[in-house]
Amino acid sequence: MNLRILYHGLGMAGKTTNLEKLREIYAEYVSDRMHQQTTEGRTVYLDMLSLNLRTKSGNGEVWISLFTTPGQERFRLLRGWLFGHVDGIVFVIDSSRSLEENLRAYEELRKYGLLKVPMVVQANKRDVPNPLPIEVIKEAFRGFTVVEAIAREGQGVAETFREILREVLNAKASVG
Amino acid sequence: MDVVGYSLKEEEIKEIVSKLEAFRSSLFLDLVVLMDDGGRLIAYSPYVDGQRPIAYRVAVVGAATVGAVDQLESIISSKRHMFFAGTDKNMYIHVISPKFLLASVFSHKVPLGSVKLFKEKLSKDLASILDKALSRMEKKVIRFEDIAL
Repeated sequence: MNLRILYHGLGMAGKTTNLEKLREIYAEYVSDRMHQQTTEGRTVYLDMLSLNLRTKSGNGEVWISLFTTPGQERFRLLRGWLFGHVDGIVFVIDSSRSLEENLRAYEELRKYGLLKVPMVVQANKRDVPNPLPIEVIKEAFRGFTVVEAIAREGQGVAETFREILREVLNAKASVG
Repeated sequence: MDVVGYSLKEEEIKEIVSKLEAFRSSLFLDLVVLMDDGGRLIAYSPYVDGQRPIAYRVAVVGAATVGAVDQLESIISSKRHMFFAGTDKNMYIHVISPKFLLASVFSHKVPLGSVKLFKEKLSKDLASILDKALSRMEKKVIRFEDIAL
């Protein structure tokens, strides 16, 4: 089984940091890591972490590709391919920025018809001074699982991944 | 939600692998990878475990590149194939149907013309299997609780 999970959100919200931390946390399952970036470390197009998990019985294999979207506006043109082939979405909220700004990135998902794809919301950067209140985020994303995180310290990263994996597999099981 | 719009049976994958193997060995290619337009790896040759991560990367990057180049379509008007000339090896990717892509990796000693010529026959051979697969949907179910994580 192949699954593709997309990390989407504003530029510098912490999407690549999530993948970097997952690479450390699940090091034994990593089969590949690609990150096409500028000299400043900004993602250009392909930022992918590939994990190869096995089932407990040992007779099943799950290949998971985790992608991020390049957050900068100018790369919007290239998002069609990324958005066109996803099984699940982690929407990464930058708690240091306003809800309106974050919702602008969320609006893109609607534009690409992705609102029915299983989604988990990660409220990242909870350690910034005066973060966007968690109640405001939960209210805006009522009905979705919201995970609080400080991705650069690894907090909430694995929890977010496990939540989205659970939701994607549940959705597939209910279809199949 | 992205639903994989095809399903290949075990015996069909074996048949595809044997066709890729025949294509690869007759032309002395290094690697042949069949993937879908979303970058999902379907089959590859040589079919050995050590090649799988490389084939996986070729599938993802190959499909993404084709997807990205689609944005240049109005300028270059060629979405059927792409050729990359490397220092040591070359890569030729061609679209065998709107859903499936084939990538061939080969040394400079192998003429591109022969790859282009023989991939036509391979494409026809694969078409009947892939067409049948397209009429089926994926029904494999793995639950979160089943995963050793």
